[in-house]
Amino acid sequence: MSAFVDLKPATWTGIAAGFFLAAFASDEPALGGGLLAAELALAAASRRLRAFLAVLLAVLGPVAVSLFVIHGLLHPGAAGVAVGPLWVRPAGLAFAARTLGRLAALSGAVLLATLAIPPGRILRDLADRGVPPALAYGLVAAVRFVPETRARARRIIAAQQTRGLPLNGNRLRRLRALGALVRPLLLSALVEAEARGVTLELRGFWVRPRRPPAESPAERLIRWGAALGGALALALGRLVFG
Amino acid sequence: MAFLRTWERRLTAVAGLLPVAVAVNIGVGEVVARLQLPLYLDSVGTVLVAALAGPWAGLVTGVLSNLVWGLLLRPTAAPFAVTAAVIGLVSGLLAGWGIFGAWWKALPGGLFTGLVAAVVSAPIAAYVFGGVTGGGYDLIVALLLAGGQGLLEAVLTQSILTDLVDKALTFLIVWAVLHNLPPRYFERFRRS
Repeated sequence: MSAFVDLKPATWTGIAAGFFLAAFASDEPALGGGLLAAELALAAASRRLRAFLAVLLAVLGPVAVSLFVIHGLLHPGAAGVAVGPLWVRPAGLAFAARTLGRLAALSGAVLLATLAIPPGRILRDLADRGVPPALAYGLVAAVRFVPETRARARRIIAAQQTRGLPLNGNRLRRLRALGALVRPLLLSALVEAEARGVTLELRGFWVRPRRPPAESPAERLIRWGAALGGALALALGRLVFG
Repeated sequence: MAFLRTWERRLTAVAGLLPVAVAVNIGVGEVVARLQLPLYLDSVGTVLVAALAGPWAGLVTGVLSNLVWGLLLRPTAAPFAVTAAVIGLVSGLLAGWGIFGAWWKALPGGLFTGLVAAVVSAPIAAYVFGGVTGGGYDLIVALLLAGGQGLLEAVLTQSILTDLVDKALTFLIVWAVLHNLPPRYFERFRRS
């Protein structure tokens, strides 16, 4: 079990890519369910099942409601049956279930990678593999910078509200308030970007020796096996099921 | 050597801007949510990078934004990385033609980008998500389906209705910000 906890970021990315591709292999509802079951098993093996389920339910809950209501009642071209005052379309419900299964498999693939990879490890791993520093830094710094920017947005909203900016009322009034909130957020972010650029330059950002990452052949096999397996499943699934 | 040094400096400036722009895309969403406006405005950072540093930087920002959004907040955002990439690319190309020189040029540029974004995102929304997102826009899709439209047709109509306004406003915001920046800010991103 602990072997799964210690897998490298690239290996989790390979596993997630495999699941992501395989989710498009067929429209059969069993595929989404099967992939999700495998993802749940991996989340449990890496001791992240609780967080995995919590995020998945929070993300897919509203989508599931919309899917079943809209397609259950309005799915185009499907015949309906009367259920009390409603005209329910069984083909629409099946479509909703199929779509939800695929979405769950896709979201689960992203979540597997998200929960398993700490940002600090991604940067080291990407740099060691020779990924351009700009891309590696961009991805990792963005992950770290998002909560900070959201907090800054909330501070700007509170500050402007204190100064008397009306944030409620009709749509036109709220739209007018948008400029007063977005402008300081953007300008402060641009100043920050300039400072970051200068710091990167001073630190010799582009001079970064490449060190081949130390990893076992088994881990390489898992990574490439999962990614290629997903691609193969997608190709075969589309050939067989159309 | 001088060319390489300029190129390196420009790439470093873009590298400093990328994560900030990605975070801005998500931060502006926070403001829009607080104001309860029927908009996304989730491409402001992408368009800003594209305007400052060109179409390829815009494309990378778009892809990174949706990946980070998918990783941090909403795993379902990842498939729309394609749309975000196209928005970055198109707005960078339009910026190269000088559309951020005046608001009346930025407005049609935003409308055109919105149309392209709608055409690219509608098949993804229809095929991957069944045309719903779990948000308020689902009501528009429901109304169009009830009116007899097919799924792709309904999602495309909804996307055009929302993306045209959204991207026009995004371009106007970026135009306003660019006009508030000191000229020296643009020096770091200049290509030659």
